[in-house]
Amino acid sequence: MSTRSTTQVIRRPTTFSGVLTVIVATAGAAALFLETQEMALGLAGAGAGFLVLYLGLALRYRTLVGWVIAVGGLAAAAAGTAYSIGFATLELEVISLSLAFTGMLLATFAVAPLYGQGSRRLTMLAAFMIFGAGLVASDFVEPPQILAAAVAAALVWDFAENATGLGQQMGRQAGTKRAEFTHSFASTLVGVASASGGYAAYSMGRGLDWALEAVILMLVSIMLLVLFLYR
Amino acid sequence: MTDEDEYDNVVRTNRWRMVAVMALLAGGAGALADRPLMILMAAEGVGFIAYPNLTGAPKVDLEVEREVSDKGPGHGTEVDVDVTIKNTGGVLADVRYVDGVPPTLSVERGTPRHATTLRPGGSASFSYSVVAKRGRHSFVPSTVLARNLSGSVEVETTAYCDTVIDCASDFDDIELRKQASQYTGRVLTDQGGSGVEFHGTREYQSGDSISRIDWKRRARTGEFITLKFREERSAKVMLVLDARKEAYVSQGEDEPSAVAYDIYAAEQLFLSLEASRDSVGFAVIGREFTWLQPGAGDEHRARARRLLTTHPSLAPAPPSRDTFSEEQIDQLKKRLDSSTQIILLSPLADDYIVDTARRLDAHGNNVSVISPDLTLDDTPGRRLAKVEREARLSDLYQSEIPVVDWEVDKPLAKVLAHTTEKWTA
Repeated sequence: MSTRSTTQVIRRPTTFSGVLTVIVATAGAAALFLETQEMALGLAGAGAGFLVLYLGLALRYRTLVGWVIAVGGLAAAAAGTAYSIGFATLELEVISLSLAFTGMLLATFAVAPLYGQGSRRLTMLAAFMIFGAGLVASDFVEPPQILAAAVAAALVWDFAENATGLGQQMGRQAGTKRAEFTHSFASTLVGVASASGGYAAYSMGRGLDWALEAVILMLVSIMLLVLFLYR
Repeated sequence: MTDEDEYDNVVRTNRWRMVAVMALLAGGAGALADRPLMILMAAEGVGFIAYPNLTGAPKVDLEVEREVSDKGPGHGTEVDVDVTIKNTGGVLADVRYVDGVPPTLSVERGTPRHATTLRPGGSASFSYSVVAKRGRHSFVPSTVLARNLSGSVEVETTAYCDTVIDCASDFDDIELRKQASQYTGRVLTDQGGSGVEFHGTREYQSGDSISRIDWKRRARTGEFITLKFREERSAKVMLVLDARKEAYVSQGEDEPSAVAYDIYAAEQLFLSLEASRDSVGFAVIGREFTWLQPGAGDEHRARARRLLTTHPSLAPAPPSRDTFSEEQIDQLKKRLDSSTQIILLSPLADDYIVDTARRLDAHGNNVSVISPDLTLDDTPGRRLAKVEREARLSDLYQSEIPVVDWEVDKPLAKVLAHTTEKWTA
């Protein structure tokens, strides 16, 4: 028996949040290496490459050109990262760069899946990689940079998960931009606010010369309080 | 969060848990390695952990307006559908709307799905097109999913706008009416009286209508003889819809369930039976026992329409819990009187419904079955389901219960006509 609909719902992640995911992953990675301009530029180039890869993967159903664009984008992304690694002086920098590259790659494939409806597992891994790049970089960067990477990791998860969920429920052809814009704008605001709050608390702690254990204890209590207060 | 009580389906998405895990990980690693910057990464997570808890479940109040470019199109014509959703409640940060396209029509261009943000009093419009098929096609309740700003809570509800695409070519209209009355409608009795079909003659009695006197015979023999015709009585029909959890079978994720086809068939039957002045009632078994006494007239029509389009027992999505019990069949039996016949609408997805049809028939109410065929044969499991359904059909035939096996790709009117020809042949 034939299927009913002539237009099938394509349940792939939505474009707007998908592109934002790649951009925010790049921004998070580049923020960690702002000190060395060449490294940040290299990573920005890698991000552009990943955007081209995204475009290629989106077009691959139509023509062979899509595949050519995708491969070209991937090559550009690898070249950009290699260029950044070329300027690395510390071993930790190389590790952090590799994690950032993997995170960006996984984020791109999470929102432009080769097959299926997009994967939350891949999204989770991508966010962890960006976050991990930040953790490793905590040895050689300034506090604002680390905060940018942490916010970027959270937003990579948020945007990509939203893109996947919307794609699954509504399909790619549906008009979803307004909902995506509101959601991502609000999440970004929350990210900026909590990073600012975190930085203010950190500066105050440094000024008052608080013990690390006390800061941790306070932090865990705040988390638990927030978690239980609204249950 | 009292708002959550209003909806059947409120889901906590827990999508921000991932960030809490990352924050705790960073906090732990920072403590072990004695790195303040790692602790700082954890501090940033606090905001994201609080965020999903700051907003409760969204309260959905939507008004839906639907315009179709042609309400009475010809078969195969493309009909544009313009939908406007208006927010009559508070802010809806993320509202996802799936229009209730009639299950029997297919979308040709665009998509009946839309997601947007709506401020109070705000509205959003989108359009798509469907291809008209013969028959009367009612739009079903639309599915609405609304999330709060952070996406931490999702509520599912429905919105309804009464729209009908009536694509009835003359040919089909006549055929449906004739065939439907033949198998359920006007019942020819064996009692002589006024009517159309000749039954017999008897001696004239005073009071007999002059039109029934056999005037030719009077001219030939001089006798007064009254002609008797078979009396026609209208039937009392109960349309029983099988909306148990088992009946929500479909051909795929996006495809309408058998219950949607049952509702479509019930509406078509109701209109044609009502046109032939039969009194028609409805009963639904499934989530709860629902009953609408056989009747006629405008008010009854409005009630029937409300039942078929908006009653929760006929919701487009299957019930989350199986609340059907044998008691519902007992209630049905109790309420049926001896002159009512039953048309059971069911996909025949399990043996229980076959057994029920037989029992109702034995109870004294003649049963006919209309069964939408949604079985496929692409996997061994589905082939087995198809074979099982065929076995159920033949069980019903053996019990002399007439069954209409409705391949849903074909118009119901045609299938009914064809099947009745087979019965009468």
